[in-house]
Amino acid sequence: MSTPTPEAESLKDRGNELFARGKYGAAIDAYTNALDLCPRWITPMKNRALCYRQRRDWANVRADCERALSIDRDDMKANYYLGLAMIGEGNHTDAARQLKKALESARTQGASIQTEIWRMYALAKYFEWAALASKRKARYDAIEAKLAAACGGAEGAAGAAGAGGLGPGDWDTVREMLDAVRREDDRSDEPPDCFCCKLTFEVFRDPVVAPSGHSYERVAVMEHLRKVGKFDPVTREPLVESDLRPNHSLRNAAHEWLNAHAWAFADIINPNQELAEFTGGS
Amino acid sequence: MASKRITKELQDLQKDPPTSCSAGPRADDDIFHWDATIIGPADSPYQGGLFFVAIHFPPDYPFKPPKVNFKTKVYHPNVNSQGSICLDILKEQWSPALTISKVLLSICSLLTDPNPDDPLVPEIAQIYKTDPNRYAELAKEWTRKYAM
Repeated sequence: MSTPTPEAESLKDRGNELFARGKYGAAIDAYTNALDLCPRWITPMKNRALCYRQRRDWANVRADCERALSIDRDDMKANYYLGLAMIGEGNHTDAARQLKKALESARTQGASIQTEIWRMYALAKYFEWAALASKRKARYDAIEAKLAAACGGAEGAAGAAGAGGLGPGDWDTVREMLDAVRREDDRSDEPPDCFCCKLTFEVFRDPVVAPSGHSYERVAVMEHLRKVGKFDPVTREPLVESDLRPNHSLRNAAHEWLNAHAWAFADIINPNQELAEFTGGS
Repeated sequence: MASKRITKELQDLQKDPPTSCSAGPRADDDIFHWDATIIGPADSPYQGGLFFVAIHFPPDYPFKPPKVNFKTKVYHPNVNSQGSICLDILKEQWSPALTISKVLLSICSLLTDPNPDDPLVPEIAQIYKTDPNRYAELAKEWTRKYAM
């Protein structure tokens, strides 16, 4: 990273002002001029990426973020916007990995940006699951049809044993096995209560445990201590921020469960809002 | 966070509805205003009555309690003529770990067991304390008149 010259600094400020007024093309020009003066200053790169984001020009968002990350690989916003660009380009697996990195870098930052990145991460994971699940379903449907035929029909109609010695008597077992493998994509399941915060009702992102033994989503219990009172939301025992400890085991277990039931990420995405950006909706 | 949390409470209510009450949004496009009904508890003078309740969730729910009001007239020491309810968990004892379902159940308990020491209508509290039979009679009469 380099220290910007005053001239570059004022070009960047001009860009910010234009961005705020929705003049993205002019803002891009201002940031570009700032970068011509200070090619290793990453702030205008990230801000220019934001302009491209507004235009859904994901290739240029990616280019600016990759350039910024080549200078500072842990930069939170560059990792974040790169993840968004990857979602925009339909590359959901890499997007999820990138957003996870952004989330790590955001740990020391404010609650709202962490929640924002977490929801985008959920979006990438959900898109990734949806694509995989639909392919899986097509494969399983095809195999199921073949097995049903081999067993002499799904209705258990009497018939000669088919290929591989399968017969009508095998159909129930085959069915049971098929249902078991399909289960991971069964959206009628619910996240287990033990993985859900009693304040947000959502699967834990970053739980903390109180002296009562109850765990809460960090941002939610902090808001509770600030707005409602200095007590444990469930037990009403006195509680202050310094009593809270990160609950790593619960976090890992909850995240592992989410990864194994990735359809549940749908629950974490903000409805409508985020999807619109990537589906071309208004 | 508010609208997500309210949506989830609604899903939970629909999946596992309480026996003595029901609740849901008044209109499809406004999750913050609900109507609820409470069935008068069997062991109370409100038995047989059906009580309508309006629920309004504040924008920073669950970090502020919901506003809950009776729409049906109730003869009760802790419910006034505007339908306001004097219940600690709707005020200083609110906790974001509470849910609308728990609130409605607490209101049912309040119907069964009034709290005359923290009255909203002192006259009714006075009758409740000094002449419980008269209180029960009046409560039954109002239930017949307004809640059936």
